[in-house]
Amino acid sequence: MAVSGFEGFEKRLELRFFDDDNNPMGLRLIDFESLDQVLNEVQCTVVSAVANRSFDAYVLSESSLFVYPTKIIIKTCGTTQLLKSIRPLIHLARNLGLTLRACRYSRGSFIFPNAQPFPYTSFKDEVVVVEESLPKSLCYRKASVITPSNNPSRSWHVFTASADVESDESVVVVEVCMTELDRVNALSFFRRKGDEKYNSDSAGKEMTRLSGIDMINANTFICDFAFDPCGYSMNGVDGDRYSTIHVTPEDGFSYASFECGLSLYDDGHNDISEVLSRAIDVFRPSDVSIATTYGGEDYNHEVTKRVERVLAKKLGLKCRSRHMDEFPGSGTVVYQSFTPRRK
Amino acid sequence: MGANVSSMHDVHSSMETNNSFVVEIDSRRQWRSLFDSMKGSNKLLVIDFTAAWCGPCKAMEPRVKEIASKYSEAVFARVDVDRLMDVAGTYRANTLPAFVFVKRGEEIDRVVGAKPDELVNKIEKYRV
Repeated sequence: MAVSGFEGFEKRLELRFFDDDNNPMGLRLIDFESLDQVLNEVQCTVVSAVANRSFDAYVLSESSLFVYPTKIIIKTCGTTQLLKSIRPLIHLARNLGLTLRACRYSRGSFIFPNAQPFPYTSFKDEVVVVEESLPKSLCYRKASVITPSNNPSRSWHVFTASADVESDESVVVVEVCMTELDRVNALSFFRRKGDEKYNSDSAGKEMTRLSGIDMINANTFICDFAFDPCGYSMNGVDGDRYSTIHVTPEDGFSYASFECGLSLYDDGHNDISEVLSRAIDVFRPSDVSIATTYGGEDYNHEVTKRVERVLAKKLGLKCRSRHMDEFPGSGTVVYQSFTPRRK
Repeated sequence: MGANVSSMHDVHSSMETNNSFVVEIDSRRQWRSLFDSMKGSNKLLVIDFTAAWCGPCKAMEPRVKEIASKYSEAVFARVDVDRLMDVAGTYRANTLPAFVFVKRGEEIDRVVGAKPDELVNKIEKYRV
């Protein structure tokens, strides 16, 4: 394990707003200069972007930003100051007549926790900062740290706050964190010697193809970007569904994340367990954790078991722990850890 | 800058908005006229598909203006996909921004996404 290196583990912020029938475009009306300013505070910048009728997707220098009419998702890695975005975003939304409905802040455990700036050195401090930034109307709040018994250094941290006691979010969010990536697979995410003729966009396209990321979901339009000398990010756009992958390939602190918003009713090729299996297969990691967030009444135990079955059967990954927690107004979180079955 | 506009887009000077190197297409007739007039030449036509709902398009706009002014031998035409739905449909412009490269009436390539470096690369490749 390296003494220090780039922190792949992301901090994730999701803000949801009440619908405004007078304003169907909602948050998408926030002008780019204002968004850019917020990102500046967080210490990141837009490197690529794409949009369709449902949402805007931005690839950032340190991960991703998704803007839907009533939902914003920002995910940033490294030593970014993600929580600084909360107040300005709420303010920009209010200018458009949009009222905050719910907030979720989550992350795994940092590989290099001592390299993080305050308040990210302790989840308790992060929670204090989030709480201070939120209006009192979000009165249903909960902070939780899920610690798997088999691997206490890989905990999952969640803070939620909601104006409603029940969540009506129908999208299921799946966040996969992978470490100890297969060294050969990780090579796809290094820029090649003599490829100066490729810019970051075409190098990104090449990485998408070489790694097989384009095969995870054939319907997805991929907006990719390659970092120099290594590293990769992509946002996937498929109707109103988003997906995103970020890779830190260096040996010693290699990391890859895969996140997507899905419906429980997708089946066949796009079934959750099939998608996850294909995504994890790109990296063949030695350590995988999956955090799945179900809104409202949607928790489906069959799905949890199916994911474990498929990963065991197709990738030889054995589920070592499974925990569940419920968050008022924000749904249920299931957290699973996997490592390869011993040969 | 304004003085040179009409000489760069000699066929379309009547359609120029002041100081713009990107022709804003407002009607199907205007589109047809532009498209037909370029069929006979070897000039590169870059169709810039945008929409009111597209944040990345707005983010990219200043760079597109810069690029259009630098590569003045190419013709840049901006098409709003909601205003000219059939043109957008013909070129399957659903994910935006989409820059479609057309020569002699045929699509030869495209760049999808706010990717200025990629846009410049391809213009340099196809402009001759």
